[in-house]
Amino acid sequence: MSVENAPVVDVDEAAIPVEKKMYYRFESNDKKEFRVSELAIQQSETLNRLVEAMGYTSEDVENKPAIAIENIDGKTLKLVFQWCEHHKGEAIPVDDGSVPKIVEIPEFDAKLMDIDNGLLFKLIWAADYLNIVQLLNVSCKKVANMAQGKTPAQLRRVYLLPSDEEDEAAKRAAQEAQDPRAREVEEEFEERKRQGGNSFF
Amino acid sequence: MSFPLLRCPYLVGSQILKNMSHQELFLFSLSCKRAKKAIKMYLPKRYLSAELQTKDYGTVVTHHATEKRDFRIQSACAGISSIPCLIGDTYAEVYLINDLSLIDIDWKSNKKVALKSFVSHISICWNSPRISIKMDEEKPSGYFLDLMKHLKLNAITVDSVDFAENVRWDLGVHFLQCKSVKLIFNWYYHQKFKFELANFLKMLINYSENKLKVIRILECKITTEEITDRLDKKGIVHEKVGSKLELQRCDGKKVLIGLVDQVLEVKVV
Repeated sequence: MSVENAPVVDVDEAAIPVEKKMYYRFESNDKKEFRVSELAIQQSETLNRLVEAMGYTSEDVENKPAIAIENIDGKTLKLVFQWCEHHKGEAIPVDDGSVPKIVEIPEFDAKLMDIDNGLLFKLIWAADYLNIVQLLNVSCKKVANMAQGKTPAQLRRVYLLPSDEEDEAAKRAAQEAQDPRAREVEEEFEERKRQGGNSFF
Repeated sequence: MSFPLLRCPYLVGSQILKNMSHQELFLFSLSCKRAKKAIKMYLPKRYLSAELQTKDYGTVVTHHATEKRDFRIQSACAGISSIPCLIGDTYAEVYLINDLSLIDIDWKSNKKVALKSFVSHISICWNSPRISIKMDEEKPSGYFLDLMKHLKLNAITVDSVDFAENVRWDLGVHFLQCKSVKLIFNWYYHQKFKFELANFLKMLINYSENKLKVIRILECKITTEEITDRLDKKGIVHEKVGSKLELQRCDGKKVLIGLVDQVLEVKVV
């Protein structure tokens, strides 16, 4: 029976053992430790499967080392777990295929994501890695909202897209870096063409 | 404030683009070649649906959900500054109106070029969307032929076509490429209609690769007897099942023809 459904009776709480909520310990790649409730962890499919597979007891959680999350830093992980704790117990949404997607950003999430875009990128990356569906939905919605009211040139700046000219120049530079002789051959070819030769050889 | 969209993992990029509206995706695709590639990579094919409406010189694409007009092609946009963009093969002036809820596109070229450019561009910017067509023109045939040609060239399938006016039946071969067609009976050519309907039914039962599921002809002033008479003359085997005529198609499917309240419905089941 869940805690919520348990009958409410007046008892001396000190007299009987109360089932403790389990808090798992996680460690970020910069060695910051976080304690996260079992219910909050359910928001992340990756972490939920991990703790299920580990089968930790309350003692294990306290005695064994914290579960390391190697590729997420403490600042990002703090945001992720804040989000999970706030939304614990909520149903995980299923993609209904609506076009465009209908996603509302709740006030708490909007405040949580009021961060610089570098950290937002890390947060989205973490939500994808940890498979937190709703966090991914709202964070992607926030990024999509950046397109609102923008012209094509502004969109290029917002999403850091190279212009066609920059893209071409970068491609040429990459080709030359790979094969320094390529440019020389191209110049030689152009020179011969100017001289009226039909064939390069 | 910038966000490195192209560095995002596949699922993230896909989610971001799926959260953009038709207009935002359209403008995004105009920003550069990389954006077009991103749409092709991140958005599944035929993810979006659009309705192409044609009336006079304006072709309008609307949202199915909101019925909001999103795009107008070759409409007058005096007094608003425009953005020159390469759409399809040609340059066009793009006007953003009312906080982008409406986008006007002026190609400064003829209607055929505009149509070709627009169709080729929407196939890129919405990754081969599902299209439904509403032909509001007085003489839709020529325009419809051009539209179908460009849609086919860009591998865009048509869900439905709705003709508001009479239409020539020699377009029947194109109807077979649409899932559903609605049109109004052309009473000027009563005799010809019966003849062409029989020809059309012959095509429908002989070619199993067509996509047509249903065709409805409104204000149809012919009788079931006239249809059976034409079918007999054409040598098309048919059977009367209840109030409907049943034809056998070459792939084993059935074609049902029903005429109720001057609405002729031909259905593939």
